[in-house]
Amino acid sequence: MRLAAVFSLLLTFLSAGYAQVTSGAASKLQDAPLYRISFERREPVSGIDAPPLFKLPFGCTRDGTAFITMLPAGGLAQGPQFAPPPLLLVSVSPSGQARTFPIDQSTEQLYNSRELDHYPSDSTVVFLVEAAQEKKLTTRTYTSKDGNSQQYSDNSAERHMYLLFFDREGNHKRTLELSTSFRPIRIGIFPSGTLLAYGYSEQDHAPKLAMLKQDGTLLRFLQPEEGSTPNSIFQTKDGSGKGPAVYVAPTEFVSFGDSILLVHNKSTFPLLEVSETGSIRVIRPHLPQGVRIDSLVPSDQDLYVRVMGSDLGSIYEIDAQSGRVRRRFETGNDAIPASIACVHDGKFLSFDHGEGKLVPLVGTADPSTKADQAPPRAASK
Amino acid sequence: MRYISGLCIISLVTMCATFASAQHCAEGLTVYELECRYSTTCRQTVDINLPEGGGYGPDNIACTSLSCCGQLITTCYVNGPCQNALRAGVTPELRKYLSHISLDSEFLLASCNGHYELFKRPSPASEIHNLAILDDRVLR
Repeated sequence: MRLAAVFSLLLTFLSAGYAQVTSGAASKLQDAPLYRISFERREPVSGIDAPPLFKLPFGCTRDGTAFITMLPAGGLAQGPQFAPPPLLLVSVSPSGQARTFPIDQSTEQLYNSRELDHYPSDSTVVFLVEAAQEKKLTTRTYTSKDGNSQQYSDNSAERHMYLLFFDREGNHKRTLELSTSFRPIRIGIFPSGTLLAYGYSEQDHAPKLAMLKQDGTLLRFLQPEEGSTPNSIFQTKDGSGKGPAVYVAPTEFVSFGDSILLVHNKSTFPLLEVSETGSIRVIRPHLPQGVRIDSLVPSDQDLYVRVMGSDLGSIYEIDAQSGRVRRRFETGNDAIPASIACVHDGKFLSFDHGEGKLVPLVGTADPSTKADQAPPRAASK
Repeated sequence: MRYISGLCIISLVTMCATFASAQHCAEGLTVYELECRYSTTCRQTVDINLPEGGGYGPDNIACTSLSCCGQLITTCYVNGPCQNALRAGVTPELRKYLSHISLDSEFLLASCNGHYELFKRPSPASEIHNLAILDDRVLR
């Protein structure tokens, strides 16, 4: 009985302490001034049509060039399976000049290329693709919805992982076959040309972070701090309990100066800053309980995160050293935070569409006049 | 199981939710997948778009009919300035694909008001709000 009372007291004490920490984080968050981003439209991007769909995330390089993954208009090939839609990477420079990076047209020696990831740097754009080196057509049979037997042709050649390198003009420069002992899902490149890969062991699905030489071979594995990455890269089911039973948790690499940030999106795992020497610095943003990092907004200078679960602003500027929230932002002009491609020179770059064209928006942040003094609380979502 | 004019609609699968949220356009359309059977001679699946809430909604929602085992079934589309982006660009197949892969990926979708909005994963709906508009007699 006495033991139960002591345990209960301990729980109360711990709960109070936890509540204090949570409340403290929210309180500090509210101390960060709130800004409102107002957008101005620029001249439509010439040379490309506005796509009906973008695949997030955006990419951005230090010169303010945004990289957009488009899903070109049109349907998918009919068949028994849904073929992944072709992705087309397009860069849009601050002057509005567009370049395309067509991986299927530039790699004639590969078949059925499927992009897994890409990473733009100041001089290079590298793609991680899965593809076959030959074409071995096999006729397969399936039963269609009307009950009839149908046939289709499929390339049954074994698929491998490749790295495709482009220059910033969109010209394919070289192709490397990857033969890592793990399955990579993210690729990044440092200014020296050394590569960073993140993926998982096919045996136990444990995350693997590795530096690769310029020829794609292993330089060394990196070991993040205990608890800073999930035990398994796989997640089971979404929050609603529906959907596929297992899927790969969303992650991203974002350029941060000469380093690369590893982000476990929509989670509470810290940001990992990986330097070119292989050192890893853990950045723990001070966020209230319930608020998670949705994704990063690439920036030429500071650290901006798009958050979920907060009603105290949707984008935070984070002090990369202390993790403190410096400023909070909300978007105006009906723009949504997810549509912000990057922050360059203090301006927020986004896109609209109009008359079939892609329209760049440049946003300026001004102190919000909105009454921002709602009582601090852990936001819910 | 629902019988309409001798047609047996055995499956009413929902696959997609709002793809037009909009201030200047419709409240949005919901995509349904219907499987039709007629006797033993026909079995067919079609995707149809219906206005959310079941009514015909604002003026910029236009409706037509398509055949499913010989039965005409209502389907609607956004008929306005954003028609190209929403109707021609994002085909039912593409929406279906997105609904399968959007768990680990996020997409921005062109909306009617000139902005891009986050693609919302479909949430299974339990029923079509107004089955009467499925019946081709309302179009005759």
